[in-house]
Amino acid sequence: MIRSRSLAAVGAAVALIAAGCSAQGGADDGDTLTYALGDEPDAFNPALVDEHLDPVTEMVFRGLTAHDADNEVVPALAESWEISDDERTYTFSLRDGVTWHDGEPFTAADVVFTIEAVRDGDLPTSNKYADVEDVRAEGGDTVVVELSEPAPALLDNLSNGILPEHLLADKGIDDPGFGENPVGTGPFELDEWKHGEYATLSAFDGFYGGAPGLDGVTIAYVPDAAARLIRLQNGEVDAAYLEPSQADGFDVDGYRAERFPTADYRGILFNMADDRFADPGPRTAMNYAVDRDAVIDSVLHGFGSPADGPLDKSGYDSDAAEYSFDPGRVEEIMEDDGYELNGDGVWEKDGEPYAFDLTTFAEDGVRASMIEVLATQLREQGFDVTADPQPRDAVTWDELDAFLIGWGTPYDPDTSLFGPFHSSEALAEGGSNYGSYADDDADAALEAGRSTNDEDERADAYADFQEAIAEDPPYVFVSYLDAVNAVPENLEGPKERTLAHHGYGFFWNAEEWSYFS
Amino acid sequence: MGGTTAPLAPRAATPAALLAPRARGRGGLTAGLAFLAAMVLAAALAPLLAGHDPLATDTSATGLPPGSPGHPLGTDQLGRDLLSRMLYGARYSLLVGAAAAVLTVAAGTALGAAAALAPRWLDALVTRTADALLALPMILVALTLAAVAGPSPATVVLAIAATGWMPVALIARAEVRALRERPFVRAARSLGHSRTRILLRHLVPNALPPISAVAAFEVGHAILTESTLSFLGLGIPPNIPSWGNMLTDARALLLTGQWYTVALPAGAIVAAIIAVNAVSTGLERPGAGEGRTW
Repeated sequence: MIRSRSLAAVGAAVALIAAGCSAQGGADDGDTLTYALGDEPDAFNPALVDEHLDPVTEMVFRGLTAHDADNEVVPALAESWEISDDERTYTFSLRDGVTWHDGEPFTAADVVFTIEAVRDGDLPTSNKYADVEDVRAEGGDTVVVELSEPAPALLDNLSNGILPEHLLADKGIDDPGFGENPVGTGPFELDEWKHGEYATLSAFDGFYGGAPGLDGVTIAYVPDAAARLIRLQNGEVDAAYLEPSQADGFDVDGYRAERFPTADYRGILFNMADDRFADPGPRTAMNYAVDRDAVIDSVLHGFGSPADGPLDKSGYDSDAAEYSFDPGRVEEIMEDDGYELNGDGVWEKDGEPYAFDLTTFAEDGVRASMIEVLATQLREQGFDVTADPQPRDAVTWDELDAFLIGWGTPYDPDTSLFGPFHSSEALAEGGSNYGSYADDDADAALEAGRSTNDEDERADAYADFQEAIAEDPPYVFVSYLDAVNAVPENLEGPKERTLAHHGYGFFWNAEEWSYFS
Repeated sequence: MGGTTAPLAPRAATPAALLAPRARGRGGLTAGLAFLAAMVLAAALAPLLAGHDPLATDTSATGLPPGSPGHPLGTDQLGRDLLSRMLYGARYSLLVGAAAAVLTVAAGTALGAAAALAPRWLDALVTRTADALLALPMILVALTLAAVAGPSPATVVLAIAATGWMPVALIARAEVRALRERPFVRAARSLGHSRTRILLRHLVPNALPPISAVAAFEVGHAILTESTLSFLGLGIPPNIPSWGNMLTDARALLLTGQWYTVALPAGAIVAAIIAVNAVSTGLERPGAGEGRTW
């Protein structure tokens, strides 16, 4: 027994060492890149996640469209498209000669299958295609999409990967086996996924855009930030996602730090089902009680920018709200609203001090630090806030008071506004409006914004939306985050663009990356 | 531990041999007790001594080194005063550490002694259970317990005891079994003492030296386990200072040069363990293991 156990241990150790070697790659052999990242997805299937794709899914799959460095929609699997005058019929011409990683040809039937299966599959992504009335193939290389009403985010949504009909028609689009061994049309194909350790990808020579510059990419899953930096310093990985404290003064020989802005913001969400938060006055005042620059300097080590609202990084940003740290303004708003400072220096109305718990995910070190600083800042301005970090599994949205939440998209604004702020998406309805925020003006503006492709009309709608949330703030908007990644000095190709939630999207042009020597 | 771990060879009963460990132990005992008392006092008087709110951040004074004006031990990354956090942290850490260690050692000794003297089936039950628990990951057991009992400092103490009693029990069992056949125990038996009396007056007290060494270790183990469990949301909230939580927080800073954020809580834990160890060594009687406990 003991002998067999120790043999097994030796075997496991040898396997680990072998895995470590194969996962290393490194700048030595010049052609592979190993990147350490904290978050590991449950499956590599673009039908199961929204646009915040993890690097593997991003590199394995391609959609009909893609985004360029300015986050504008550009052709990908679709070579071009035409939109009818009533904005309800889209005709896509597909690229010729695209093959799946298993050698099967990519056809219009795959597109029809993906759109229909996602729309009808009751998946987290299903509402992306809720307005699609009909989708049909005309010949092998044309797809026609008919909409029940104009859906300006459609082209954005079609950047989500197309899935192979020939593998999934029988098993269903959410087949767990496929999520383990995905087959896409992207520049890299998955070789092996060892849960909790790494996923190795190799270049797909049949990629329609030509063979990628790198021979392979390995994503190593290292949840602990300190361990990521140690692995980088030891040469076990070639690149890594850095925490702000590590990015501050980053100086490891042979590496450089790439700093990209993201559309990922942090804000304090309030549980509007709770009467304490019904009055917009204190919510407005708290937006002036927070010293955003101090939060960014201390928690983010400068790797962020102050947030006034959810669209600061979007082309639709208006100046409806220009928040600053202004104790005088806080006092004015609170006093106008009938609050008085009590003996403890806390705002009080009808004998009720303004007090609440501020929760966030304890596992997220940046958020956990942020609520400590925010709680102190708000206490100093008379709001009795207690920081209360909770493990992810213990967070119950309908029971908490306030939560430091993260949202934001660099793509079409509808995808990251309608869910969090429209009353029809409230928590009770199963939506992602976790605070059950409801404002008639905001609802109307959001509906207007998604009903037309006309840029001017949309700009007006989103200006109205920003006006509405300045009057009745859903959140205390705090900060946008910058994403910092360490890469080898001799890697060329990473190109700045505004990244998505959690800094995802860093590998958006990975097929163009290569080493120079 | 001196020569007390070799109880099989009767020690030469020269006055020097009897006095030497006693003198050494007494010094350690006094120093250890004084140090622990000082720690407990400092923890109790934390609100008076701290001078800062241990939770309040100060973004204009982040990452200050020890010796900075107004912050004798410096501040952490968010500008929280480290002296205040150390003092308030001592409250949780010492309380949880002491309670968990006492419970662990008491439960372990009782189970181990019972196993040594009990019928074979009970002996097998205790030892097999201990083996099984030792094979399970500690976190798994603790998580299960916390899921049933709900998160609180009491749960932490229970979880630590539930996952830490096994080594104590196994040592106690081995020690009592060894002592059972020693002449002084046989003598007690032939004098007609009851089993309970022999157990309580002869076997357990004489088995204490090795157990007390483990007990000192358990205090440190308990303080550290507390931080792990708290980080998982099962005990003390991760933003409330305890030495363990402070260590968890500071771990990432080891690489960025702010060594003192790690060194302070780690030093306090080590000092507490050494003090407890000194006390447990000092409490040993020179004749322990020889039947001279009374």
